[in-house]
Amino acid sequence: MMAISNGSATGDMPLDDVQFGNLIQPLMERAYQVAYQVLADREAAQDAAQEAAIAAWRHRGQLRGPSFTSWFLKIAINKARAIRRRRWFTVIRSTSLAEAGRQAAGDPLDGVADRLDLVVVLRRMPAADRITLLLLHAMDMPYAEAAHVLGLSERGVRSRERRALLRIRPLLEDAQP
Amino acid sequence: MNDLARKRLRAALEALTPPAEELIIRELPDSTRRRRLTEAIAIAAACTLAVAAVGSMLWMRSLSPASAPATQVTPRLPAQETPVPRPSPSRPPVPGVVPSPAGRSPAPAPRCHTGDLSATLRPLNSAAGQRYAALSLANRSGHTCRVYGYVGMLLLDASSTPLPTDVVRNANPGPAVVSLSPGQSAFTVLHWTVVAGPGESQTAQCEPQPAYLEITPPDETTQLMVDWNMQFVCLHGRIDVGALSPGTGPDF
Repeated sequence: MMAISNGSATGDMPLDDVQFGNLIQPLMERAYQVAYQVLADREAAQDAAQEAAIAAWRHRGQLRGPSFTSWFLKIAINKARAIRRRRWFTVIRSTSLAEAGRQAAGDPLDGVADRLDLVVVLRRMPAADRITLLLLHAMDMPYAEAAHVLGLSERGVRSRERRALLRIRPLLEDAQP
Repeated sequence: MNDLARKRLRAALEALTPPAEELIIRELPDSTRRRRLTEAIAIAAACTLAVAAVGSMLWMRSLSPASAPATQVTPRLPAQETPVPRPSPSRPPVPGVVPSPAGRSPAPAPRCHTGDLSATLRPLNSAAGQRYAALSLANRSGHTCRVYGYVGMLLLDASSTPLPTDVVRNANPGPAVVSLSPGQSAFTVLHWTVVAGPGESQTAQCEPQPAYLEITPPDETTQLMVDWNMQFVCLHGRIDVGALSPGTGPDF
């Protein structure tokens, strides 16, 4: 049901639902972010995070990999890819007007023009490259854990990171003080 | 990378994903003890419920021509009984499963399936950053069929990769049963903006250029593709759409 291909086993953790919930809840946002890179759709990404939480709960006895976080994010990516394959997520999606209003309320960050160009370039990257950067540079995940999430070797992660950074370098170099 | 570049990259990566609405884990299926057995029971129960839900949906659909709006039926927590369409505060009061306005008509035409329809996308007059297009669905089958409700849409780029798309249903015009004889069409007007919103580039193009629009007719699960020969869609791909109405839409 769930593909865990590499990483060392950290053993069977006898978690009850409260402990499990406490572990998972702070990671839901990350799972959603990662799933969003695959699906480019908020609701579908939320579904993927939910499904990942349930799958993780069901398979909590098989927890493996360098960390709980990487194990869970790996499940989230798998769920997002499964949803993407189903292509059900192309069926009508509706968004609340309230939320559209929230989006219109303004960006909390200032001086954003260059950063936004960067966002556009990042959006155009393959999802796998975007996820790699997200794990390493937004979630501060160590290479070993990112490797587990992505199903790559550490060297593989480094070379993918290098390739992705190369693409955005011109936009980052503007940031020289 | 210096610190400033690092910060900038982090901010951009965080801006990639719109804020989530609901990420609360509501309920976990069962407790640790008696795990194997209860898991087996839960799975069996979930399957039974799913079969029952699908059965009852089919039954309800067969009762009335006005079927529920097409909605993702994504498996949620197994504790939930039926795949209920996700409630959304802004969704117009779409009649779920109610008799059609026409009352009890003798033999309602079958729903138009994706294969019965052909889609046309026609740009309409634009104004000050606002863009409009008429999307029409023509019945190309040899029989009369009906459509009811809203289309689903997804923007794709030239390599068919999904782009951010945010379909917002307008309450007006609301859903009505539109009966299509062979050759007849139903339409809806799409509206979007080419002015960047918050969280989008103010200097360059706000969103990637779409090449195609994938259309899911109401209640269908397969799609039609049309070329998107218009500009990009700002506000993270937000497209306002009304329910399908009879005709091919305005001329301009």
